[in-house]
Amino acid sequence: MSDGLVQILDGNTFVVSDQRGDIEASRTDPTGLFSFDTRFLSRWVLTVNGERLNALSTDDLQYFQSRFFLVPGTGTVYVDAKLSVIRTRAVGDGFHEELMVMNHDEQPVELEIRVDADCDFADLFEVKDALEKKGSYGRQIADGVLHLTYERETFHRETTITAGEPAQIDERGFLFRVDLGPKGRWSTTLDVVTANTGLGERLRRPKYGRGATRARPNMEKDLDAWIAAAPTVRCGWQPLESTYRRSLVDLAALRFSPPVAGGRSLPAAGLPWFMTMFGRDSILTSLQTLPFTPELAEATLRSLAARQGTRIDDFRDEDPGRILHEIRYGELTAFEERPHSPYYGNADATPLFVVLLDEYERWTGDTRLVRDLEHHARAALAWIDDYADLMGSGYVWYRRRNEQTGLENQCWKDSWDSISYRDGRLPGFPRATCELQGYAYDARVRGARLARTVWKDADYAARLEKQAADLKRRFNRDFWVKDDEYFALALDADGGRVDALASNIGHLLWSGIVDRTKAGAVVRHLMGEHLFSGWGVRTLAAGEGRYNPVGYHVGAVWPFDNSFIAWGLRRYGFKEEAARIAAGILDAAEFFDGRLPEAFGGYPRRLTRYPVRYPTACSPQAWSTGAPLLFLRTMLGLEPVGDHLVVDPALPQGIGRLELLDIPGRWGRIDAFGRGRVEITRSPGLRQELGDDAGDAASRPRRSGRRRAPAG
Amino acid sequence: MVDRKLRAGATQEFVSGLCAGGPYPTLARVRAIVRFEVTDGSPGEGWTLALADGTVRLADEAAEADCVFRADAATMDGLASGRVNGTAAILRGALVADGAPDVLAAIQALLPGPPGSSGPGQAGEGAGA
Repeated sequence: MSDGLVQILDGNTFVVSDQRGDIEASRTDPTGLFSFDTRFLSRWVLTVNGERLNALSTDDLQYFQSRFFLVPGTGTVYVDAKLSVIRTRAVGDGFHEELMVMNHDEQPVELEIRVDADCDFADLFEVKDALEKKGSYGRQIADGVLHLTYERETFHRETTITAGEPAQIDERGFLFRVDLGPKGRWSTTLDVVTANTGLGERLRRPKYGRGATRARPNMEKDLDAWIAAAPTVRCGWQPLESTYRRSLVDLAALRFSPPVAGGRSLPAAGLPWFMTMFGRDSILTSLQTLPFTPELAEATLRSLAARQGTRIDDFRDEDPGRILHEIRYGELTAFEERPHSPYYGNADATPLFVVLLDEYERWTGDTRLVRDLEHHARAALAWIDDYADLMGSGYVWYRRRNEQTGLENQCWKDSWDSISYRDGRLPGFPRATCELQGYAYDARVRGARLARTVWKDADYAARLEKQAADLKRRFNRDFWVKDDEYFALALDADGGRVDALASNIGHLLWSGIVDRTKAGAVVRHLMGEHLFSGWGVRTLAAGEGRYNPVGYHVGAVWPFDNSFIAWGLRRYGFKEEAARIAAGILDAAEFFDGRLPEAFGGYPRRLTRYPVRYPTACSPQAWSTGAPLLFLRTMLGLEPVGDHLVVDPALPQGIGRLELLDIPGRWGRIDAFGRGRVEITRSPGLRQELGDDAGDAASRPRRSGRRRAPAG
Repeated sequence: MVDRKLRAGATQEFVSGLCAGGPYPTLARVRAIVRFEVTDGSPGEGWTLALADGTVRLADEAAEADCVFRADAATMDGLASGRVNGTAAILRGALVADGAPDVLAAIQALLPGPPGSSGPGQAGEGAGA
């Protein structure tokens, strides 16, 4: 988001305004009231006696509420105002606004308070791509309600606006004529309600509607309950506590309940463009947050299963068994001008779906979900064999069938230039990136465990295990770049190695596909100066042909990427290296007030001393929000084993003592403790806080969790 | 003019195929009465289906429906033949779907894909291995 914009949200409804609370959107400007991928207000401007207001201050009270303190005039020199305005806004099925105008003068004043409203009903994709509308607009005033409408054939969208106080309503907005006595106050409410006729929605009041007879759904209480239900972090290094709390609040904000979720919430991908269900993002965020908020994983699995591919559809890149990439609800999707209904073009969410299902059961013991989704998990595993092996070589490949609006790169690094040879050349299609093979391996291993323990199908389990072992053997041969001892980023269509050195090799450790004998070399690369910036592992190693420290997938450091790399390091026993990465990213979080951006620059830490935010990174973004949670798991070495939770801490020294209390799982609730003992001062340029030798080095970690009475 | 009988025939064919086929694993846990209503057909034109234990059967027209799909004959025919996408049709208001979202999703999963789609196929053999 651009600086200076204020954003509040509830599910996939959000408002982006300027510091005054005004909205003046252009065709390509991301301000406005958005819901279900459609802009429902593109103009919302408050004036008093024809004058725009000036913001004294703006409070983001909660993620769903903001308050603007305003005075008339827009001059740069502040003159004591005789009048001030407090504008409070809460989002939810539209928004509810309370305007309060105060006369500070000894004299009465006559005021014309005006709110201009308009709407372009732009699809989010139109805002991004500056496309023209094909339907017609309407404005009606009836019974004190201003209706703004848009129609294209059977597609109807409508914004209705009402005011609490008497107003003169015209097609452009509301005018309030107010006589305000000395020291007097006047206030009104304004309700803006969005309606999607196609989605079967009826006009509703916003959640924060007015009127004494109507109980207010208390979102604040909901947020408090959400935070109270999550484990508690206590830490000698205070910034970690703040980052954790920030993550929990942002996760609450990013919760999204698609119609198929049955009222459950899953993590949407990010604000503002990605407040929707993404297969990959929702799954990876659910994996990160499993030890903290396991209900997100269940909602993700059930919702993705409900929309799992069942047919061949080239426009949507859909195959039977494939897990969706992204679903959208706007006009372009409705008229099949974009394929997001849903779009399936990704090669990783399908194996990751099985990975999440298994990891979820390991933590929660919820075998019912595993039984409910048996067909879906089997279909996902079958997709790997039947639809992903485009070259008949036993690997997962991708190549879009929708050449116009489909995605070229169907892995998490989905920008056009992300997959390259060392010299910068781009391979043709199809492509088989290395981490996809790791995910497929892990999905089979985990699918075998579920088949054996829950579905009671030993033959299927044995078949999957054989496939996994075979894949691992071939992968370690075919992807291995012998001379420099790392795994190639991908294979090209000729079976050649796409040999750029990239962060993807860290995901291979997480998946377990790496031969033990090769792990040491992989780790040396991950922690070497070409990949490790001091803050974290770069997406592409410095020195590669396409390396660019502010290249989205070709040099920037992604906190989410690093959280999985650190998890992989732990899996192979490289505790100290995992702690070093955790220290770098968590230290970076402090520069962003605990809210990690999607990505930051790959500049060496010793050069910039602070993490340089990637220019257009969206924030909060779900898997960046989940990263600190996964780092907590990794640093404490939390691993479910049977009905127990093993705790094996390896913390950066500067963190001091770390307590994670009330970790939910099949054991009930358990506490975990650790003390910082991993020296990370060799890490270039690390700040004192986490690299301080004066940390509690002599302390020993407590190696087992303290069990409380099971909570059932 | 589109031949009304032909369209009704396409939808009828799809419904007959559904009832003859199965069991459908995605319906294993679904038990519901689903009604497809043709809005521009003769009064009462439509199909009432009973979903249970992974199968689809024609049900009594008078049975109370848990879910209703409502569209004109052209849209209904498009859905039955795969030329119209169910989710997109709902988003643009051409198809009204009323009822439990999980049942609606399960029904949509049974709709065929576009007639011209050929699938991924294989680009060659033996690469990489």
